Amino acid sequence: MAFRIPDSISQRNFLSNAGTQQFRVSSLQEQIVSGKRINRASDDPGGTEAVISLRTSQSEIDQFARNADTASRKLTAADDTLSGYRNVLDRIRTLFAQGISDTTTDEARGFIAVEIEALRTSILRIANTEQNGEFIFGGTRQDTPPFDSSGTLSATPATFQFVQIEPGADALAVGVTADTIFTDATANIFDDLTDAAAALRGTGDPVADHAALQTAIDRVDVYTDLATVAHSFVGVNSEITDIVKDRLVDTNISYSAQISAIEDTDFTEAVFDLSKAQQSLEAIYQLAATSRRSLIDFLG
Amino acid sequence: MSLNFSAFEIGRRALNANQFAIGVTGQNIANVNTQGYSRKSVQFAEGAPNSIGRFSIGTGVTIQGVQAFRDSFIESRIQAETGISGRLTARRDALAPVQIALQGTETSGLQNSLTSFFGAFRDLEANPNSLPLRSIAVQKGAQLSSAFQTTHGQVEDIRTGIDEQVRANIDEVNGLTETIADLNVRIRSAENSGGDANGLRDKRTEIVNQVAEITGSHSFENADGTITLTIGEGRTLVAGETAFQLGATNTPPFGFASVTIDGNPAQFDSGSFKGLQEAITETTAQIDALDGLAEQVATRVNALHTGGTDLDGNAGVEFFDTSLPVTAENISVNGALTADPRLVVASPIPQPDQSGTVAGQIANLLTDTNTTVGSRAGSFSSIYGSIVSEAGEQIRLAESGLQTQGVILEQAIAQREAISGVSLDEEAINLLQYQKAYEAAARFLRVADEMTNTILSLAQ
Repeated sequence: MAFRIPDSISQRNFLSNAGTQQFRVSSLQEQIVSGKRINRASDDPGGTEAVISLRTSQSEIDQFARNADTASRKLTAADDTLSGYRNVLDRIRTLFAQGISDTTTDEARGFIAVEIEALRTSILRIANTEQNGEFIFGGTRQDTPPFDSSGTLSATPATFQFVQIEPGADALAVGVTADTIFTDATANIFDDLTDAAAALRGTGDPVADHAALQTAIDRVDVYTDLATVAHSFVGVNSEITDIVKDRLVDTNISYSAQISAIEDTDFTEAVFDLSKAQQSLEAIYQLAATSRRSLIDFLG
Repeated sequence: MSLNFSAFEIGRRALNANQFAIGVTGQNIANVNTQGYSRKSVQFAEGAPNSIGRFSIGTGVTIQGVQAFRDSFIESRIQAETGISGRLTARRDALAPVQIALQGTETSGLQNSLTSFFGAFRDLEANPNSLPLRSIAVQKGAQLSSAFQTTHGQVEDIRTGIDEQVRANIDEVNGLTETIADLNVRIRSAENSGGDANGLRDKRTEIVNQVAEITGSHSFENADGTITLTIGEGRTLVAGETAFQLGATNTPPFGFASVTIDGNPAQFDSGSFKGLQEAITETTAQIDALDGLAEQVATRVNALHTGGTDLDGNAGVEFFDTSLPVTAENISVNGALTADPRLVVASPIPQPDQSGTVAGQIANLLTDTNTTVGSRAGSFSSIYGSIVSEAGEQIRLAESGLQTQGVILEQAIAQREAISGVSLDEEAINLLQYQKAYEAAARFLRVADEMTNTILSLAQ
């Protein structure tokens, strides 16, 4: 038995096919206009989840980059300051060498004492240097300066300030504390310099003065070592920070590329598909327009 | 003589029959575009013969009836597929707005607020003594709370909308089943008195399909011409002249409508009701997931925050207010912090067994994978991502299911149309056929008339 084709079939077929093609055309148009292949989660649920995760990682990287910049800034400040400090220490050693020499007159020693005291004040300023409202050698102690005006170390304990600059990595120290530079277990530089100045002026006991000056020279060596250690610590961390910054930039670019690969429209492909779909649609329209004539048209 | 008189009778019957047949053909042609119309054809039968001596003389043609072409097997298939289609459509339409609510936009929305809030603590890590950054952290906390509340509110609104649709469907079905019951009565009485009720049957089939789309009902035809509608588990919706009313009872805990038939709870396995029910279950799960995420954010941030010290060296208070159990609806920043941002903890002193500061640890929570919300485990970001993608997947499945179902339904309808649909070609041929037969019958009558005249003129 032959299959009956009632008139409604061709009409339904047209509507169904045209509808499908129109939907295809409009979704390709949406992709081209928005530039994205994924315009809602249902377009590609797996891709959406991946993009959310990548975007989160990417903003994390941006955050870390900002922290790395801050770390850089602090370490550079510490670096520069410590350079200046070492120069001061060199000067002090030279002065002490002069002061301890027998060929130096008492008057000359007096002048040296004055300079020593001036340099002491200078070092106090160095120890309490501020940048951006923070004491760069304050570490975690920021409510009081590292040393008070008389050169006494602040009673608040302080540790290094740590900042994380990379995902998953340990935090990096972004400075050193004044304690580690200007003091050691036995004394701090300010007291030692005060004692040295007194010895230079003469306490009336030349032997004791001489011994005191010798001690002072040894102490300067100790402080110089401390400064060198601190300086290279800061320098190393500064280098690490620079390397991390470059790496963060690369990672950021890589994330952008990954997101783009998942999310963005391939324009060439989309435009090509769109033109194919539009052609199909026209063909369907044309077919429908060649109206199906029935026998009734032919009956007289 | 009797030949001639019965000839008139034969001719008369032929004219009537063919005229009637042309009328039926006209009816078919007129209804070529009527939805649900079944084409009709006239069944002719030879008139019972009279015996005259050894001969049987026919008495022309009689009309045995008008047959409507329909196939009840295909009709019930269409009903079943319509029910499935209704379920998928309802589900897809109900869920489609959810993914938009959950995802937000690139600049606002939960994802952005999450990364931005934890980013504020990252900034604070690098500048632990900054008061402005603390204010910013409080602001970002407020933004995050607001994003949670907005998202929660939007999904809840969608869910409420779904419930309203259930109630609207209940009213619609009640109207339709009343009509079916009424048609049942009319069809039964028309057919019992020997008439035909083809037009009514077509109409009833259409309405039954509409009910099937909403309720996933099945129909059975009884011997008296009435149909019985039942839903999934065998509950009767319409029987004869009785249409059982649907109602809604408000179910705890949210007061959503549970559909009842004649007062007793009903289970649907297909149709819009089923789809809407599934949509409510899914949106409820999403709301629970959002609540869980908010609760975890508050809990884990608070745990770290209270373990550190603030700008003045005092022990940290809670960052998020926990006077009520935290949900996405009520999450908010502790009022004490809003009033005095100095209380925000950055606690630069590194923890004894970790290398980070408290601010850094809080910032790391965004990607720390030890969070669990319900059955999801991962980081805040990945859990949020999974909520969004799951919503998208549900919609995608409903969409693709609907496309496939559309094809299946079209096939079933095409099958129905092949049997019941009107073909103008066919009707045109029939028109020709009956017209020719009418003309021939008229000519026969003329011949019989002339012959009678001849006989009569003989007698003059």
